[in-house]
Amino acid sequence: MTLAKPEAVRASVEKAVAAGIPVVTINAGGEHSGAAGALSHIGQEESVAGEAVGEELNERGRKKALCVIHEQGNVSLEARCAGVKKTFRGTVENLNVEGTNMPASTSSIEAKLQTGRDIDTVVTLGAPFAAATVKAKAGAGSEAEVNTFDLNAEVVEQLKAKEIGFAVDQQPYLQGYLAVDGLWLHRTNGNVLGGGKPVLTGPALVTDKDVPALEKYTARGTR
Amino acid sequence: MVGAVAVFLFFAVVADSFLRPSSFGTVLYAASVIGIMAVPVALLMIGGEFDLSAGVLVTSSALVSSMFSYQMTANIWVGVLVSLLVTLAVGVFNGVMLTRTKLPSFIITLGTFLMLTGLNLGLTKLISGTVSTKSIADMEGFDSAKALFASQVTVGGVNLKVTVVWWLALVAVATWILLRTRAGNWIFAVGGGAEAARAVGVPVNRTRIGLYMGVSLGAWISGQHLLFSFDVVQSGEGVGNELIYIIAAVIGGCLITGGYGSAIGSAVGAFIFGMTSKGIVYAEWDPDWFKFFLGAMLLLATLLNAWVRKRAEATR
Repeated sequence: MTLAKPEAVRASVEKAVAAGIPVVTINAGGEHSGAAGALSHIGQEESVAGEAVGEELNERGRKKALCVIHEQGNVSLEARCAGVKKTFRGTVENLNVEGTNMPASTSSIEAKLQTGRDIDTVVTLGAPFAAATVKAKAGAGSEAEVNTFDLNAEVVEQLKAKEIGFAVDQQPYLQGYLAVDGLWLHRTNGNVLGGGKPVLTGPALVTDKDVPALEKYTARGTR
Repeated sequence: MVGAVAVFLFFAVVADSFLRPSSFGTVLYAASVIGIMAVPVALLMIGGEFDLSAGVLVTSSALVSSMFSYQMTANIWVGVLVSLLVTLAVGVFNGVMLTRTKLPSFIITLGTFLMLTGLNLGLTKLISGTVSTKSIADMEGFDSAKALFASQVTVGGVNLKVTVVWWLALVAVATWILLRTRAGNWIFAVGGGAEAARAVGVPVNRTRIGLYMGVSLGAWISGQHLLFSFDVVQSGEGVGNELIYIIAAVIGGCLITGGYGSAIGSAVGAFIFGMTSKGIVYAEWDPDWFKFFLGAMLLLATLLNAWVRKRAEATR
């Protein structure tokens, strides 16, 4: 069960727990998991992931980052950008784009890159928006490095082509796998994963060096 | 028109980078993507109807084209043509449902909107296994299709996307239909009063179905652009865009009640919307307030337009 909107599903989780059904929460909403009575939470801490990105950008010597939010007001997306801001020594600017409208997203990023000439890296929060940024970059004649959250087959291709610097993988396959595994061990061996704390499956930062190993896993959809 | 000039001058003053030639290309692109759909949506509104399914229909059209080509390993152009037929069929469905049931188009196209949203996601997942389609960039015919739907040329430092050409061509054709053909008179007549129009022999039902097919045609062009500029299509896209098309038409002077409006007006509306939404980015205003500024600017531009029109009519 995922707690992306904790207020909305919490009552159902509590009902399940009361009925004696063990619940493991995955992906989003780690901080609400324990309160709702779930056994454990397996996911990525969005702010921690953002912080890791900020540090990686420091390492790469970036000065000014643009954080593209594709759904205005989404708590976990805001948390990622806030995390980047926390650890990144340069400046971070946010940009809200219309996530359901690719051409509009592209032209907004393009406009931003045209006006912010000193932006030397763009962090997108979803794979499709990395592709949009690569397009926008060409349109704006910008040299900014594109980095992104999320990993899929296309991002791997773009990592390989060095169009994307690095990607932040939260290993969703692992989340699903560990959740079921955890429930099975709870049932057969009385185990509890995480000791009341979230079990983190990310952030795992991947670059073009990881591509050869990754390709075959993303092709079968498990990374 | 005055509203568009005012918005242009405003951003020229407050945003340094707005007047650069490269920025102009970006703004035109943003306007054209809205404009291609705003033209047929404006015609439909002149004819007195709405289409809430227009936004997701664009995505459906792109998905059909992409998945057909990929699954059949056919030439890209086969998929593109199949997509045209399927998209037109959705328009016919909307039109026939409207004329047969006599329910408000708001309800019928709301139904189509929701069904298409579900179909987009459901079928894509069923066929591709994920929420987006597979890349078709390496398939036969891709390059020629891309040239037609998603190419660009650089003229004097301005990146002009081919969508701008499509947009202007649609505006020209629609204006010609509205002002110079019998079908144009039918559209105004149907939107002004369907019963009266029928009484004087206007084929009301055929006109309405035709208008929905026009929206389909626009959705097909936009959908192919979406596909060929990104190689892949996200199945969840397009939701909410239907409103933007309607907004562009209304800013451009279309009456919500039908019977009045123009294709050129819709182009001006799309241009105002494109300028405003990108101008706010160029002006580097706080992104959290983006929607507020967008709403306020659109309201002001439209008020200015209405005020000028009233003055002009008063002095006539």
